[in-house]
Amino acid sequence: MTKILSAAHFGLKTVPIEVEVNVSKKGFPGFTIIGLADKAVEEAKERVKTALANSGIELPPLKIIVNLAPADLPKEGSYYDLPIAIGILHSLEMVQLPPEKSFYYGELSLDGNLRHSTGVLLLAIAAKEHGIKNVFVPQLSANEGAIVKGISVYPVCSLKQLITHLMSVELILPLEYTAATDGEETGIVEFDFCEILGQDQAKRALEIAAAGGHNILLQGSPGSGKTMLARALPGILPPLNDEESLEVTKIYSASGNIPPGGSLITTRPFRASHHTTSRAGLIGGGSPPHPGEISLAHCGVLFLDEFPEFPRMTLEALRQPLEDGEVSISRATGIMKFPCQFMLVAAANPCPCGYLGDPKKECRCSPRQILHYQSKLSGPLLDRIDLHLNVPAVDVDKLLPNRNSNVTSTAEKSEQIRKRVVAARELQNKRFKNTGVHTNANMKNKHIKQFCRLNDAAYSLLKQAVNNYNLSARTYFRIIKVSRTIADLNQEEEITETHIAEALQYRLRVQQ
Amino acid sequence: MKAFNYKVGKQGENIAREYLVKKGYTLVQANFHNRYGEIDLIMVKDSSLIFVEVKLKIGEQFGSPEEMINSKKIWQVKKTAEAFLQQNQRLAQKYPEYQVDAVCIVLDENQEIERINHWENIEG
Repeated sequence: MTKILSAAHFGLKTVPIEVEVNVSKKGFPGFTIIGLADKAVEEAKERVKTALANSGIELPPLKIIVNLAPADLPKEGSYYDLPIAIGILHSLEMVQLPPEKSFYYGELSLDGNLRHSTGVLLLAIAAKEHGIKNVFVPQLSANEGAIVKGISVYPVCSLKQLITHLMSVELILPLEYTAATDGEETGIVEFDFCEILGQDQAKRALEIAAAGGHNILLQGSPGSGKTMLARALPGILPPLNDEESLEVTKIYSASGNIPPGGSLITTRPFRASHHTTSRAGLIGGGSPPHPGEISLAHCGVLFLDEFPEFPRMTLEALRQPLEDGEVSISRATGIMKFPCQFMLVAAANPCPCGYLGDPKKECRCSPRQILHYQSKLSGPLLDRIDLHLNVPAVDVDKLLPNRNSNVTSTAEKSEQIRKRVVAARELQNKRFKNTGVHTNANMKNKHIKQFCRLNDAAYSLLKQAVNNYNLSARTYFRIIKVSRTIADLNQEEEITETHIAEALQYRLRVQQ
Repeated sequence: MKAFNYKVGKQGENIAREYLVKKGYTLVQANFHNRYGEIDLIMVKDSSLIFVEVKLKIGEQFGSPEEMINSKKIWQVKKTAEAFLQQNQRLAQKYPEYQVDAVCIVLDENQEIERINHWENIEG
C-alpha cells in the first residue's frame, strides 16, 4: 500500500489529504474510490486509467482501492488524479518516491498531460505551513506556487515526464522563487478621465474614494455620465501592495479565476455586477460555499450600476460585509470566512423617470412614486456609504468643442490623478503596516484614535455638524475617515477644518 | 447485431458451463430470468449455491470482460438471485448461503479460448 500526500481546499483553508492506494492482483478486478468523494473525484478512475494507458503503461487486471483520508471530510474537484496515478504506479514499483514529503496535485487529461488546476497558490502556502518540501503541480499553474518562498515547486507537463523524473532519468527543474513585483500597469480601462467633460466635483469625489477606499454613491439623471465615471475609475486606482496582492491572488486561485500560466495578481480588481445577480452570487454561497462578487472585489472595486434595481434582500445582505470587511458563510457543510474589503461604487437615478432635480427637464413622477423608489435604498445601507454625490447633466455647450478655440481639453488625465492617489495610498501603506487594515475606509475605531488628529477648529466644526444634522455615531467616524483621506491627498498630517468641511459636503446630501 | 450478441452469449455460457462442470460443479439451472434480470448459470458445489455471471469478449481492444461487470450488474444479479430463492424454497433451505461468481472468457480472432478466469465471490 502506498500513501501519497495531496490537499483539499475549504474556502481559503487547505487541509492535507492522504491518498492511500491499495493495489492487489488477487480478487475481482475493479477500481473503487472511497472517502466522501464527489462526482468529479469519482470520475478520476476513468481519467487515471486512460491517461496511464496513453502514457504507454499497460496495467494488468488489478483490484485498486483508493482511500482519501481523513475520510469524513467531503472532497471535491479533479486534482486528485495525479496523486492517484502516482500511488498506483508506486504500488506496482514502477516509480520511486522522493524521501522528502511531497504534495502531488493536478488534473489529468486523457492523453496523460496535466491540465491547469485551481488552488495551486493555496497548496503552496499549505506546503510551507506543514513543512512539506516538494510540490508537484501542473506546469500551467506552477507560476502561482512559485510566489511562495522556501519550497520547491516542480512544474509537471505530463505523467510521463513525472515518471522519468521520479525514476531519476530526466529531472524536472524546480521553479525559481519569483518575488512579488510592484505592479505598475493598470488593467484595461475603457475611459480616461480627460475624456469626461465637466463633472469636476464628481471627479474629485472619485479621487478621494480611490485614495481612501471609500464607498461612493453616484446619483444623477440618465445620460449624465455616472456609468462612464465609474468605468473610468480603474485608471486611477493605485496598484496593490504586496500584502494585498497575496490576499487577492488567494481568493482568485481558490475560485479558479487565474488564467493558465498566471501568477500574482497586481492590478486591483474591478467587478461590475448586473442587478440580476443573486444573493449567493454577490455575497458568496453554495454548498460547499464559494466566494461571491464582494470577495472577488476584495481590495478593489465593486461597481453596482442601477443600484435600486437590485432586489432588497440582496442589498441588505451587503450591510454586514460592508462594515466588517469579512463575510462568514454558514452552511450545513461548515462555516467559511472570506475577506471582502471592497470599495462600493453605486450608481442610481434619483427617481423612476430619472429627472428629479434636473435643472432643465421636469420630473414626471408623482411624490408617491419618488418615495417608493427612494425607499428601495434603506437608511442603514446609505449610512454605510461615505460619499454621496449628485452627478448633474452636462451643459450642451461644454459637450461640443468650441470650433474657434484651439484648446482641446483642460481636463486632467487619469495618469495625473492616479499619481496623487498613489502618493496618498503610500502614506496609508506606511501607516497601516502590519495592522491588517489597508485603507482609511477600513480603519477601526482604535486606529482612528491613533492616527486621526483633528485640530481645534476642525473638532468644533465637526461637533456643530453632528449636533445640527443629528448625525449617527457611525457617520461621525466615517466623516473623520474621509477627512483623513482628504488630508492624505494634500500630504498633511493633521486634519484641519477645510478637510472636515469637504468631507461633510459629500455626506449631507442624504440628510435633506 | 442482436442475433450475433445472442450467439456470443450462448457460446460463452456453454464454455463456462463445461469449464465449471469439469471443476466439479453441478448445474441447477441455466438462463434463469425474471423481471429483475437474468442469471446465466446457477450451480452447486459442496454445500454452497453459486450464481454465475458469464462474460465473453472477442479480443480485449475494447476493454476486458472484468470491466464490463460493475457494481450495478452485481447488484442486479443479487436481486435476481433473491427472487430465485423466493421461488425455490427447498433450495433456499438446503443452501442457506449463496455467492456470486463471475466467469470471464476472452476469445482470439480464431474463436479459440485465449483465457478463462473464474472469480469467486465478487463484490461491487
